[in-house]
Amino acid sequence: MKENTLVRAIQYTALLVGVFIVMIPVYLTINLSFKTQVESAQSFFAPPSGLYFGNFASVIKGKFWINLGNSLMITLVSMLFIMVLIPMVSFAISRNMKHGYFKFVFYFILAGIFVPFQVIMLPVLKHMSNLHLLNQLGLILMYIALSFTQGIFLSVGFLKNVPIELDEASTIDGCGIWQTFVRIIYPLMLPIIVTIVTLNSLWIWNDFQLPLILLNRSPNYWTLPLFIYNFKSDYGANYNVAFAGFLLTMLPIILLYSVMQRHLISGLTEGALK
Amino acid sequence: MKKHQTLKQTALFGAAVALAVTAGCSNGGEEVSGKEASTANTGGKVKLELLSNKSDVTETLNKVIAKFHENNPNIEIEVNAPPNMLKVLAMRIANNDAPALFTVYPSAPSMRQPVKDGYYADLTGDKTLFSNVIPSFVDFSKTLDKNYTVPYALEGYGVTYNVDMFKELGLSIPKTYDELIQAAEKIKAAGKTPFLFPDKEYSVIRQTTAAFLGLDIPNASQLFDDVINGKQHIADNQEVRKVAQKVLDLRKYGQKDLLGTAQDNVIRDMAAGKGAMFFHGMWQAPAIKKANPNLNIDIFPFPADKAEDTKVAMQVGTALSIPKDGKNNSEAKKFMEFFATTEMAQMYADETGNISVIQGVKPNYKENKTLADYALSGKLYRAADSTWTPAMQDDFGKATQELIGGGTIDAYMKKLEDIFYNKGN
Amino acid sequence: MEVIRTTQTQLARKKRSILGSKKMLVYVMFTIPALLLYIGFFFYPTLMGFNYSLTNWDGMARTYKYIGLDNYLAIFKDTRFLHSLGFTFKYTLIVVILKITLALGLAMLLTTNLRFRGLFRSIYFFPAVLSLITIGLIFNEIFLTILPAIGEALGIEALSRNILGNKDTALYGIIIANVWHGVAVPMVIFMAGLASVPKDLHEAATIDGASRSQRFVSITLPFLIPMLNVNLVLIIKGGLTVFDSIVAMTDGGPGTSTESIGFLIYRHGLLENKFGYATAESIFIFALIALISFVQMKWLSKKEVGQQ
Repeated sequence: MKENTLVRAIQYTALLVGVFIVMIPVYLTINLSFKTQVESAQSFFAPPSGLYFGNFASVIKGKFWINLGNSLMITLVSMLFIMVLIPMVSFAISRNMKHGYFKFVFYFILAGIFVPFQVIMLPVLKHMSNLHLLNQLGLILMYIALSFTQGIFLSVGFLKNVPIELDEASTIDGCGIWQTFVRIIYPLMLPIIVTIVTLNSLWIWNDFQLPLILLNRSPNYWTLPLFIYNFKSDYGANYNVAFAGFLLTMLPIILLYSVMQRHLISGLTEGALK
Repeated sequence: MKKHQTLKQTALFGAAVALAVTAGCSNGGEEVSGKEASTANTGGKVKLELLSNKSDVTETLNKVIAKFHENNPNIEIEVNAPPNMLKVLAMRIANNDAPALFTVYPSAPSMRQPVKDGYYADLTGDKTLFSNVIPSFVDFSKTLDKNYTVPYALEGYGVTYNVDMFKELGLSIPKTYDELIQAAEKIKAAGKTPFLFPDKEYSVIRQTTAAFLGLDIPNASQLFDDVINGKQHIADNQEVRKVAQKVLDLRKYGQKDLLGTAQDNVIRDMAAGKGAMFFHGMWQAPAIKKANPNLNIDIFPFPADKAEDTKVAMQVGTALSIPKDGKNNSEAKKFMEFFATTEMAQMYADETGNISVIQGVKPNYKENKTLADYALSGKLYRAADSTWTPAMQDDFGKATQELIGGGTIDAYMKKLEDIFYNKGN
Repeated sequence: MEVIRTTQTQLARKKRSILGSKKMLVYVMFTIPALLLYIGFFFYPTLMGFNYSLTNWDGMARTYKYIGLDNYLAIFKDTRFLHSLGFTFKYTLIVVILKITLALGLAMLLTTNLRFRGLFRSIYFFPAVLSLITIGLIFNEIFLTILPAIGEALGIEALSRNILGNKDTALYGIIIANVWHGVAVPMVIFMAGLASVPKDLHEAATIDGASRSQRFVSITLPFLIPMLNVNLVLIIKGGLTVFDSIVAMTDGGPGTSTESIGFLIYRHGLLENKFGYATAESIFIFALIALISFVQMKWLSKKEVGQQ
């Protein structure tokens, strides 16, 4: 028993040290954004004497709201299409695996996993510029296209456990394929759809490289990651404003996280098991 | 049956709405410049985009624009100042999406290629545009012997220094390089940091080193031009070697962690009184003053080996150009002319400290006074990197950074040979 | 009678095949939108990449020439590129080891009966929801301002410099930021694997007298292998394409010491006007990654549960 308590103690200590390490950058960010430059020059870690909001004022002076709006719009619209298209394709593929065409489509899309982003990074710029899509719409189309490989892989795997007898029963009831899909299959696919939505919305919201390449023409087009990256030049040497900026860009995700964390973690777990 | 049709229709409708909203909310390809402004000649409203590289002067620019709008109510101008503006400009021009007005640096590498490719409007000989510009600077702002831009102000490099610290230690402004080192020695002996170098940023290193090259080597631009065109080697060039040594010598009087110090740190430390001198652009002074309004700072030109050789590294920093056959060139030219009036030039000079090249402007340049005196009396030069490509600029900056980080001068010279003679890896 | 039955069967078959082909059409329609998007915005740019890699285009000029495999040949002589390869591999190796060990350790700790288990899990998962560019910028500020100040106050020489300012230590600054961010997702995946081990197997083994470590090796480990596979693919791919944190913290510096492959391709293509050459570099990486993924998956699939 004594051994167990010792082991337990070590485990708790290790975990607490880890928590400490994880939380320090977050604590610093929150702490320093509420301090004035003078105050933080004296101590980084002591909590602020009063909550100074001036730093935040400097952050939202610029295009912060426009960029937040861009991020929101791009993420939501992309998710809408992903939620509809991926289940559709996966359903068609998984019910017709023996048929040449569907097999081809499946492996064709799956092969994308080997293609690193760098290969399309530069051509996409030229491509989108030719199509006059160097804007938010173009970015959305890119995100949808890039979500297929992983999403379809996960969904087709998931659908293996959805028996085809259900389809047949639905057909006997007189339903066409579309209705079978909408009434029966889609609702059953919700767990994996949640996983896919979670993974993709996190990725899209936080993505930096693709917006850097496609949306660089003007600050009106930026997403939040571009905003915070370019914000450096605005605040100059005042790092308190910098941290306020970081905090503000993190805030939407923090809020969402506190509400959704259980779902996030369990969603990923389900996905991993498939 | 009906239920599912409704579902299907709702889904399709939702998708259509989403796409429409996105297409509507996302900015189209051309923002505010070309297409919609083709109502120009009918006297309808025209909206021009001014793509600017100078985010620090946006406020002043907007004031000039406001005044212009009073006199020309049918012309609206919006300033767009993205980071990496020169790259954005290059990309947009290559994609037939040039802004109506944009800032340029006529002596910089970024100017040459688009001029050669014929993208900029040739303004040579336009009497109205240049009538109020100081004639020697009409010449100074030529690219490949023609005028593709209207110059408004100069910006350049100098040593920003802590006036109070100098007074405390009884130092006077060094007129020669040796005097500079002596001053540095005294500062070091007093336990303070003589120089602050933001060596984490290789573009800053490139700028200051190119300034040294131009100061110490007569016709530095020609030298590099020859090397780039294969007429000369650089690996064995003794003058360049001497400058490399100077770069290292000066670092001995720098702060402790050279490569880990970014520009932000330098500004903070100068503001906090921790460093005596900072050699970089004159635009740093306002940033430092912002961080500490009580600080007394001034600028002196970086001294040459002999006092009479001292000149200031300057370039035309505020200049406007227009695209060749741009749809709104006539409106744009109106603004370019307006900006060149003495009244506007005075306001710009007073507020930004940039040295005006417009006639009739009174020099209220505060810290920049000494630099302005040198520049306007002809003691100015272009830094050595004006004939390089942007890639060479970056490679040079990185190579010099490696030298500072502990490299040997021999390795450095070989690298330069690679970059300029062999034209990169 | 027979004739009628045959005709009936024939009719039925025809009906089925017509219905069948109608059904098939619907299924095909289900795939068309996605396929078009995939081809238009992923496959086609990939082909464009191959095309440009055979040219000398600088990305801006109106014309360019086809130069065959010259770009690829130049890659082998390009010391800067080869250095970035070395850097990226070294970085990936360290990051893989760190992330897998930490993720596994944490996963094991967090699947035992601990109080506040849920709270711990939430805290440890949090870094994963932040963007790497923000994390990079935060750590950059920490290394720039905060750590040196602390180091000086405590008199620790090593800490009082910006670790990003030294070409030998800058790598570790980037590793710290990425590991801080990247342990969470593998940890959750391992947790899923650990949860999938049937309890009765453990009980049976304990009854048989197996020690803790024996149980781990023979029972738990095989169930972890598929998770290890998934994690390795994710982490290796992330490591080889590291970009955001480098842009945020070092810009490839000091000098060229922290230029990763992805970063160098971006520089070459968009900042140094070597568009064609950069796409060739990216195709080269493509081939490399495909090879590595292929080998890794083949090797590990042999060791999965049920294949012994």
